[in-house]
Amino acid sequence: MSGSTQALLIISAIVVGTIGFALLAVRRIKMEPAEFIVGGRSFGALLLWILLAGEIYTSFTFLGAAGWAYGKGAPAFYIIAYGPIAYIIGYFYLPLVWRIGKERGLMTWPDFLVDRYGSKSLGTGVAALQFFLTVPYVTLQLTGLQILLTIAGYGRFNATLAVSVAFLLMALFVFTAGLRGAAWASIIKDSLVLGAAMFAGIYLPIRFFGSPAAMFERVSQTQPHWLTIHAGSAPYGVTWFISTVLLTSIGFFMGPSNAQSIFAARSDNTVRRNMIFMPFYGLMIMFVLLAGLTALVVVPGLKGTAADQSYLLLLQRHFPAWVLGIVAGAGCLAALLPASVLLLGAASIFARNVLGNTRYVRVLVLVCAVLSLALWIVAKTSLVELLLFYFNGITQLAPGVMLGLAWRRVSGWAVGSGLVVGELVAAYSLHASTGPMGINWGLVALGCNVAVLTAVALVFPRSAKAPEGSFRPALHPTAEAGDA
Amino acid sequence: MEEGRCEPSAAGARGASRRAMKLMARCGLAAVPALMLLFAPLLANRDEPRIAGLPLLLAWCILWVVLTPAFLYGADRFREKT
Repeated sequence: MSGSTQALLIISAIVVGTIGFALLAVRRIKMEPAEFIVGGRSFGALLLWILLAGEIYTSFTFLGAAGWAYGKGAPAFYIIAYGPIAYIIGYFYLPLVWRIGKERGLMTWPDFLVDRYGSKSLGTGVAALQFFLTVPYVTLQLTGLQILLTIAGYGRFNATLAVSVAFLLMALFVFTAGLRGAAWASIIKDSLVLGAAMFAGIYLPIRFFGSPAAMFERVSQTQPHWLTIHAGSAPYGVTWFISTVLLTSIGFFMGPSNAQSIFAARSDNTVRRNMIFMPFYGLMIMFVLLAGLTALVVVPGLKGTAADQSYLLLLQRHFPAWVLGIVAGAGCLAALLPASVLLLGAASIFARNVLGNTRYVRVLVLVCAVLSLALWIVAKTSLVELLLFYFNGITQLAPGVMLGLAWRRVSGWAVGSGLVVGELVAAYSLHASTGPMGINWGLVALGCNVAVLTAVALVFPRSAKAPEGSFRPALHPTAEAGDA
Repeated sequence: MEEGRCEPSAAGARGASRRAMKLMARCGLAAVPALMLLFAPLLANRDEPRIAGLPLLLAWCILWVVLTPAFLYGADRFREKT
């Protein structure tokens, strides 16, 4: 059996096995919309932990983090730094979001905005925005999948067909098993990804240099200053690092599927406990960075996006096919599972907040899957700009959610105007060079958004007669209705 | 600090200020790891000394990732139980 057959067979077994396991786990569950979208709000701390880890650590973590360490060096450390800050911020506002969601039957971020600001059009607008940003983000996972399958096939075949088959299989799986199925599948995905990352991050440096410490010695000899951030405002300098970490941690939970996962929790304490302990899972990224740096010394010279293949090429050249198969299989799950949860998120938002009928959600999962796949096949390269836009665009929802929890005066108009300005600045930045003083453009956009929101809220506050909706003064817990 | 129990109106003002203290304690504790990570390139932007073989900047980030749950857990002890 040739190496490529062996590796691809192992990958297929991993993907099919994971799907089978998860289908078995949820076979007795009746798939009503609330079960399908938010798991019937019944996930305990452990299942929620697995689901969050499963959707947050994507093919970007598995390939992209190594690619950053390989291609840029220390700026890659930002990927380690933002997670814990996101959980710290989340610790303060997400339990409250969960409680409001439970009381008022919310399932998506647009639901939350409609409820808080009493504006259907704001909800529909945000839903459309999230939908059109999420579909290209799904295709990013497909590109990750393609890299993995191409390497596992030793470059001997065109992976497009295999990507399509694997992705449609996964879409059918979410169609059948919903959010709970994705959570169960994440058990296997998370353990395999953790195992593969530790193998790549610890064993590869030992194999080629004797120890991780010796690997770092070699990196600083061959690439001086690779392991520190450049001072000042150079691209990927200090101000870039700080502003990017801040932006990414604020926007961390603003994606459509994140809201669903939070609402899937059994209680606000489940959410809180997860925020406290989630940072540990992020340690996995360290191993991926180590693997990327090892590849930098052993297989130097990969340019641009090829850097994302760094340590997989190392495995392909120096290890038997079954090792490559297992690691690439873990990587495929790291692309497929978050993609499937994103599909579920996009479909839920479209069904609930654009069409206004939750019953369409299951069919829409399949529609979104076909749409993303078609878009990926015909327009792979022109999607890059939309992807750059994804995170900055999604993050602009944060002020409406967070300030909406803390500040009574904020109205739907204030959120809407801030959002429009934020998105315009983010769109403008696509064609601009490095941000002012090296600051990440997304954060500049967020700043403009907050400034406009604040100004409008001060000049045209929410009318006193407006229904209380879901407003809860976040920082004054004693005033909450839930205290009784 | 003991667990916050709502006392009758006479002690209301004292209760309010104690709640404010607790909130400050929570935010203060939670802010420590956040600031240490956010400003890592200002606080520890160096290759050496190596900590367990890791360059200082990376070791610093890892250290605060591991300490974040401890600080958040500590902050959670000051939460008003509802």
